[in-house]
Amino acid sequence: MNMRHFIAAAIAASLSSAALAQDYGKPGGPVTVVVGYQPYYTQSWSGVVMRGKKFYEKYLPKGSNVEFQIGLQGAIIVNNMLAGKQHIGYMGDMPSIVATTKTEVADVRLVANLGLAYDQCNAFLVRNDAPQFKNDQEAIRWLAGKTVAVPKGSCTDRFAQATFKRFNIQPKEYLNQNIEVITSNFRAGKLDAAVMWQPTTSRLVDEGLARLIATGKSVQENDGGFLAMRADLIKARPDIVKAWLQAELDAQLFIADPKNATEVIKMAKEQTTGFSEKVLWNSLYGRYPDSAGGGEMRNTMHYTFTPETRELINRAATFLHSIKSINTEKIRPEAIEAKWTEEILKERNLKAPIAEVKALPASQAPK
Amino acid sequence: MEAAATANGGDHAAVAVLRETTPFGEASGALLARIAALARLARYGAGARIYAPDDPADDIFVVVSGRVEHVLDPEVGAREGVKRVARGGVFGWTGLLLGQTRRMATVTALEPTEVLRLNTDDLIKLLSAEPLEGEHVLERFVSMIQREFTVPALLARVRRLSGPLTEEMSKLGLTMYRMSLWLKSPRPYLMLIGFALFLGFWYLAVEVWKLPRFREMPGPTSVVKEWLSPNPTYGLSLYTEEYYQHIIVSVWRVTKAFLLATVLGVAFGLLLGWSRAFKEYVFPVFEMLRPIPILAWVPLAIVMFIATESAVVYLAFLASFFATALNTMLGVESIDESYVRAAHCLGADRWQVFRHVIIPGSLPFIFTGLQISIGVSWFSLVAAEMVSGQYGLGYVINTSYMMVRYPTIVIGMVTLGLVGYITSAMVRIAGDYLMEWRVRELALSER
Amino acid sequence: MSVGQISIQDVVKVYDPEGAAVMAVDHCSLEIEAGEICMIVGPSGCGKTTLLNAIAGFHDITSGRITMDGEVLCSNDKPKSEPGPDRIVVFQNGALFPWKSNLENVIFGPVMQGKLARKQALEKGRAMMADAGLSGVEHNYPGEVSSGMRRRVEIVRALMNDPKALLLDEPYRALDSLTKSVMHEALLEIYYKNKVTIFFITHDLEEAIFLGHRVAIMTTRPCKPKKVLTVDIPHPRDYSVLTSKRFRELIEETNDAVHEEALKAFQAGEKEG
Repeated sequence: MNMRHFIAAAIAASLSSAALAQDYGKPGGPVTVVVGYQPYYTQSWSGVVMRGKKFYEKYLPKGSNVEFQIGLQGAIIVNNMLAGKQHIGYMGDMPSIVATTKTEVADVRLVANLGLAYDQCNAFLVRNDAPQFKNDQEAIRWLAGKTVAVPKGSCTDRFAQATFKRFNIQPKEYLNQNIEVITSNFRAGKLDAAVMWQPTTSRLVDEGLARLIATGKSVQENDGGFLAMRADLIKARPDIVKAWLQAELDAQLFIADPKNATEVIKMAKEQTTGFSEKVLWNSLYGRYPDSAGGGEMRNTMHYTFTPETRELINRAATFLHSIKSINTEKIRPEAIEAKWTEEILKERNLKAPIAEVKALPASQAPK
Repeated sequence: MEAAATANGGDHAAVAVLRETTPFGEASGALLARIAALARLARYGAGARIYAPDDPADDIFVVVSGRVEHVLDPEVGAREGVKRVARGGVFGWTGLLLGQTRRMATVTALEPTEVLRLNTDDLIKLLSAEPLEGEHVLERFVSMIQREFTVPALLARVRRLSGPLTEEMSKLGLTMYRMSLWLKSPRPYLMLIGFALFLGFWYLAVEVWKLPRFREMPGPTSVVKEWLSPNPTYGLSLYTEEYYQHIIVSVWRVTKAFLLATVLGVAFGLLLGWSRAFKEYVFPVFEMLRPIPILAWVPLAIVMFIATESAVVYLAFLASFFATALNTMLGVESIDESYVRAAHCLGADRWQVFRHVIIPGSLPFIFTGLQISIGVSWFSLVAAEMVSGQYGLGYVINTSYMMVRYPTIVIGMVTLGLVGYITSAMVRIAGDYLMEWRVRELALSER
Repeated sequence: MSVGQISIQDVVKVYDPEGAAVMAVDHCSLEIEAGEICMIVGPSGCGKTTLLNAIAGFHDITSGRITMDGEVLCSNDKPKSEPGPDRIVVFQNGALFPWKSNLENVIFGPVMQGKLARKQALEKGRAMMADAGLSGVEHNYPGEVSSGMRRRVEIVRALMNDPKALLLDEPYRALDSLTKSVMHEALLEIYYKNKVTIFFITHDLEEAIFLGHRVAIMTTRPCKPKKVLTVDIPHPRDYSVLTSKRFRELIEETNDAVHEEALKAFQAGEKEG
């Protein structure tokens, strides 16, 4: 092959690979999909279960290929979905909303809710040597004039700012740091407080680096996760959308069933590193003291777009717009495709919310 | 004795011999043709006296064939007063000296000789019409007079078309002069053309042709719109105060990191190069630490340093330090042994050799290292500022990535690139200022 | 003046004695009289530089003795001497410090040794440079002046220290022949004003006979004197000597010896190369 042939072949390959990028096959035929999910965020754990139990095999056409890719943060999954490297994404509420606003790059839409909770994302942690508080309200007031860090742009940011506003307090410093830096800073004793999502919250508590003092329950701010899909997938293969969402329903029911707790945690442990089973169990099934904002309800799977879910989406969008993270105040109506989940609920005679994850007795926790 | 000067018919031959001369050797073909047109051919027999001191200094002579003997008047003070000039040699340049209208030498043909005669005033006029090239030609005359005729005392008096004689300028003046030359030359415009081509390609690839992997990138229009918007969608533009805060914070951090890295790196590198024992103990550890990426240091840095700012500066300092130390060491090792031996012969002790030979001798390498090191410092900033939590260009880039704000990422990148470029150029200029001797040396070898 | 007498006695230099054991100098003995110009001629790589380095103190000797004015420089007990301003080297490719001006270079020796205060050193420097016809380039850097000038500045730099001897290692090798002949005359002029011993290494026989009182023709590696010739052309000399009859005769006498060694060196090189 001389030089000219080589160049021609290279060009053809690169162009064709681009064209081939989003070919989802014929309706009814096998499909290859890449799924991005965040095992390091509990709201994404139906994805963990999907990967572990392979519920989708029951519904997808024979010969289909599913590849799971771990995203350490929501932003990574957003980027990958926009670039067409992933077609389905399990993300927290904030990244999933951001993903729907980048239409100039790609059209991404939300097709299901993964869960709504008061303390999966919204958890205030303070340094271990902070004073003991009588209750979460007193603890929040203590935050005034302190150094607080959050990964900005995430649900933690929204929660922190809402809390400060409601209590009319200002921190001395409001820093933007990622999880690793926050962890190191707690270790070095440089932070007074931070907001973190599960399971990292439990790990920091377990390692004695910080204490939980308030959650979204303290201020009635919830958080959630959503399942997103690329619009071209939805258009080209509605059969796959439905198939996946059927499997998703199974997965959500599976997590909520207390009998499966041990298995769920086992799967979570396999798909993450640096977290013990005890910490993972505490994240989803543990009971935090009421004085720290803990409650019995750990997660509610709405599955479809109930009014509560939509309210969360609107609130989140407004917040994102206010911090100039997105360019619109309300997400476009077609970005929420509720019809799929509504259909499936009707078929299977279920009502949303379809399940609830309740806190389990501490005796059942792994050692 | 003297053959009549004939009008020059063979322009080609004239241009050919002009090309062999020092002053005209690098002029463009167009200029040479015009000079050739001015030239008149003259012939002299063996032993003919071409001119003597006090004759009018009207023409410049270029030897085409044969040989002449050029004896400078002892009053002129050249110690190598006798010179033989053959083909490609130039003499009779006295007319170029300010206030000099009389010959200073006796020139005799040693054998039958052909020359080109160029009227000095006409030549000056011609060169004035081509200021850039003309200046260059006169500079080369100066070079030739200094080197080949060894009468440096006269250099100050060579006429200039414009501007002062570089040999006489102070360090600062030299720097400013070189900058003004640079601005006048085509180089800054070529630079702008380079940028324009780059931007053009970006624009076409992303927004016009929508090439496969480029299509999803932010295009220059969206970036520029955001950058120049008084009310930017994502919060950062030329109009927002925050933008300048980020720049200032980053510049301040890089300055601290760079200065620290320079002081410690140069000292360390000098020791490594100078003391074999030190090198044996320390270099292996140094080389092992050097490849560790900044990101790996982040958690350690946070724990090691009480103040967050120190942690950030430390991270930006690291790679800089390694680059500077290594280059300094290489600089010391590159010094020609002869210099050290000469210093020993002249009675210098170890410390004097270090101060007077090693340090100035390593400076060129050190400055190469510094240019690399400041770039590396900027480069490390994105990782280093992950720790910061509030301000900085690296922080902007990180955060925009997290929040998926594409145009802002590019704004951060471009700003960082621009500011980094400026600081790098400043280091280079500082180097030129400190190493004036090298600048002049390079200037004489036409670089 | 009986200063600057160098005595080389039975010097042997073997490089890498435990390894390749290359003998560079083989029982070389030579007496250099005080104040004379002694030219060392030999093909490249024959070991003449090794000899110079031993005198200068850059290398040690394996055995033998070198003394200057009766004082031992190096011997079997003390194989390496310390470089010093009593015998200053002028290097082949020049070793003027490029980062110092010519004048700063020239005053380097006395100032470093603390022999002169800076002000006096500057005065003396300027005077000596003027003497050598170098007025006007004091504040230029070595890189700005011609190589011929650089050589002369380097010689002045050496002479500022009142050395007993100058050791020149093929200093004019890199110059074109026109400049070289001018340099020779300049060197002689300087020599006539400051009668130092000059130990001058070259491969150019004409240069050797033109400049030297005596010319030692060395064998190829290992080096020792093959033939020592006294040049009986009287000093002071100028370039007209080059065309004199006696000069031509001396060239004829020695050319064969030189050529013979050159051939041997070439063949040895071919074998190694």
